[in-house]
Amino acid sequence: MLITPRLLAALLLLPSATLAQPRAPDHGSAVIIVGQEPTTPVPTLLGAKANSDVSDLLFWRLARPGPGMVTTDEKSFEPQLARSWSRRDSLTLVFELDPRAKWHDGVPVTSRDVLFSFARMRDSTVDPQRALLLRHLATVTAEGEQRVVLRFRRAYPEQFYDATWQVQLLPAHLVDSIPAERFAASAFVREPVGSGPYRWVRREPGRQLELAANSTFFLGAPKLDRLVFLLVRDPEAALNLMLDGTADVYEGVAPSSGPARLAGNPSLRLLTTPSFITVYLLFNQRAYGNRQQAHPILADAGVRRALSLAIDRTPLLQSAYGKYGVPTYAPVAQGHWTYRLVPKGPGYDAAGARALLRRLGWADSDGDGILDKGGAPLSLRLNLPTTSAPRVAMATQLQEQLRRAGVRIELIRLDGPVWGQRRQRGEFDIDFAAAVMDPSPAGIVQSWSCAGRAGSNYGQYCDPVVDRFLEQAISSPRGGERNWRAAYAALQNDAPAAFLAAPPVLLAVHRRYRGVSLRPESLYSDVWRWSVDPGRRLARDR
Amino acid sequence: MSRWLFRRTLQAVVTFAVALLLLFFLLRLAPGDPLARITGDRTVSPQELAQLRARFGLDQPLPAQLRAFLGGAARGDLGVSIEHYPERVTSLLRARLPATLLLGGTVLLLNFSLGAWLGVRQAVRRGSRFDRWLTRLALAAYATPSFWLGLVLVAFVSVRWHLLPAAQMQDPLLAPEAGTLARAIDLLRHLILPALTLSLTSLALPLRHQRAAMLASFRLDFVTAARARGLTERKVRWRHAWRTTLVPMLTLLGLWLPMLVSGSVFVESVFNWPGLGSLAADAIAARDYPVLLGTAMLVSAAVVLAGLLADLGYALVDPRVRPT
Repeated sequence: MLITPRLLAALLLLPSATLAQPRAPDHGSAVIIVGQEPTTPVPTLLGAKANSDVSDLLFWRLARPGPGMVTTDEKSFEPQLARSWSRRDSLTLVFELDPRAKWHDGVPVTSRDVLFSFARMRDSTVDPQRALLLRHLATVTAEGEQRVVLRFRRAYPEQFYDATWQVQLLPAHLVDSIPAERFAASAFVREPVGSGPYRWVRREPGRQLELAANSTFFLGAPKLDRLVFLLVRDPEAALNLMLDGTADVYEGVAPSSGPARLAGNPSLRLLTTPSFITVYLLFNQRAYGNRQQAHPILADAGVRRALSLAIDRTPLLQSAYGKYGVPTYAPVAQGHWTYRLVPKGPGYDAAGARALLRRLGWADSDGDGILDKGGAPLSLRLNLPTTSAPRVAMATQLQEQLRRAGVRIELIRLDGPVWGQRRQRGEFDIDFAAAVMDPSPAGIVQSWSCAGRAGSNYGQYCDPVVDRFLEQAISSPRGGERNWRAAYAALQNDAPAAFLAAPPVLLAVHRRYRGVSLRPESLYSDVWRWSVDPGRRLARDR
Repeated sequence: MSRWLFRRTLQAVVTFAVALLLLFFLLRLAPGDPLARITGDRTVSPQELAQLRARFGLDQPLPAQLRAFLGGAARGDLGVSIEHYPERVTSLLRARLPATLLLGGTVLLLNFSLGAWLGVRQAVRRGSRFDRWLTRLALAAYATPSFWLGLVLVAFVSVRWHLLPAAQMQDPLLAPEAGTLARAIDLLRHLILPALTLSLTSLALPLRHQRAAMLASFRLDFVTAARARGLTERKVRWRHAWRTTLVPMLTLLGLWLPMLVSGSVFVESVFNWPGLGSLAADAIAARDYPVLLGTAMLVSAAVVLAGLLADLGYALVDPRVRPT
């Protein structure tokens, strides 16, 4: 056949999907853009969020929290691989597995899988973080093929959450012969077999990962039969792929510029969902780079409170998140069920901040606009990662707001790995931090308790009063709402950080999808319930 | 000739080894924690951090890390990527190299064929309107940042007119069973914009080189003699004048060849082209030492090899520089 320039041009303008071989009739597809590569979406190797997003579709748990994300209310949990559950006493939980549940290779999910998975997750050499979270679990035993009994060492409100959320089941018949230390490099990790609504198809490193609908899924086959997680690191390229129709879902829409650009495309809509992210200015209680000495300025809770008062969150959030900014006044995010328990902070009070600093002995003795005490200016270094556009957008405004209160802020803009390294070493006065938290509010003990100082409590904050409230909130069998309120109020008073924002996730989603629901703890875990409006089906959906 | 070749190859190997050692130490001296990006903003326990450091050998002293790296490299194993764990660096390089070679090769081909041809035409029609406008346009394109031109092309061609894809190297939903023709056309559709972007912003270089070399060659006695012998202008131009311009063009080609491997970071980012340039840029941002060393090794090898090839090329086209 002679290929003329005109024919070649016509061929080039045809979308590729039309040129592909005809495929069996199906219900639809979704191309989901991710900014981080899901390399090991397998339990015990998760780490990054990108892995969890995929693994939540492959590997199911016994149950998951309900839409309200109340981690202490086991009645609100939704069944996954467990059909039902009951309590024998305050320490013993009994799960009945759904007899219809099967692994993607057709083998039924049994109590053996549950026992094996819990044993793997509780092994501190395999996943130390997970093992720590499961430390209160005493035994896991089977009563037949379909019943599992979990016994805890102590009664506490999040027993059920730990029993279900922390462990995604692995197929014992495929994994128990693989030594834990060789698991990451095993064939199973390259082609995992799970029990969820989607099964593994392939991964092209650095490009994309594909899943296909599990047509024998025990709760009904997913409506979208192909999911592609497309790796696009550049936000501009990601947005362009949405606008040109290549991709269907993108979760990294920049709140400042993204909505305006998406508004021009009638096929796309913008959705928001609460997240487990908090953004805050972390005050170092110890001297810059020296954990043996108290910080000359920030060890004083009064100064920290004054700095918090001097920050006007409204324009900050507007500049970074547009109309989507949500303030927070404690280390708790919008997705947490305790978010509603946070007392509203004292808010912006520039005059109050100045007065407080004056009472603490800070005065502008040399008339340069910067307060000083004993000859030392009230000058602090603020470390921020240049990789975070919202934090970069807020930093200059923060500098100006604090300057008006008489505080000199030197912005230290750092490359991500350098910023992370300095935070770990305590080489900062103020760290512009963001935390991606667990769905459980109990996770804050890692960063805001005295015990956390050996780990991720980088500000070295320690207040036994806060510790006591947190301990009571976490261990009180009645859920401890009163203690959560008290803990948050105590944290506000101590001001170990100026808590700024609990930003939501902004997603661009193609309008052809119906039944779109997004979960804050795992954005796409309900994608198997999405469907394509038959009237809006595209060529690639057929 | 063979002694010269042996000596030149030995020099190349030594240069490569020195570059490699320098890279290893410079990377380790640069500030930044390689685990910062993989842990992100998550709360990570000290136990998990310790486990991660041990996994990647970051808890070992520098000499031990160097020994492990050299031992592995000697066996053709460059280790495991930190960012793309548990992917091996060699498999990452293998996966990314074809994309880079395809894009770089297309641009090289475009620039050294079209650029050379246009350069000759310009020299022949020196001072004409064609010459003046092409010079202006080529220099304007050369002065344009490639990422900006890429974004403009995407904004119009892909987003507004929906003629070509905005990014990627292939349609993410292209069925695995798609035929060769479908695959080739899909690849071509994705290649056009990045190749055009890179080519437009770099075409001026071979074009101007070729034009200058041709003008210089037109002034040479043997070209005048050829014309005096009554040869057609076409023969004078291509058989006599153009051939003498091959040496400066080979020099340029030698300098250009490493770009075949290193890729273009900006253009690969704008078009999400899965090449080595974006892999290296990501590795720098993540302090992924093994991947950085792997890509750097590849680029160093390409530089050294291109120098060697250029020297061989001179010897082939110009008997005066042929070693005896």
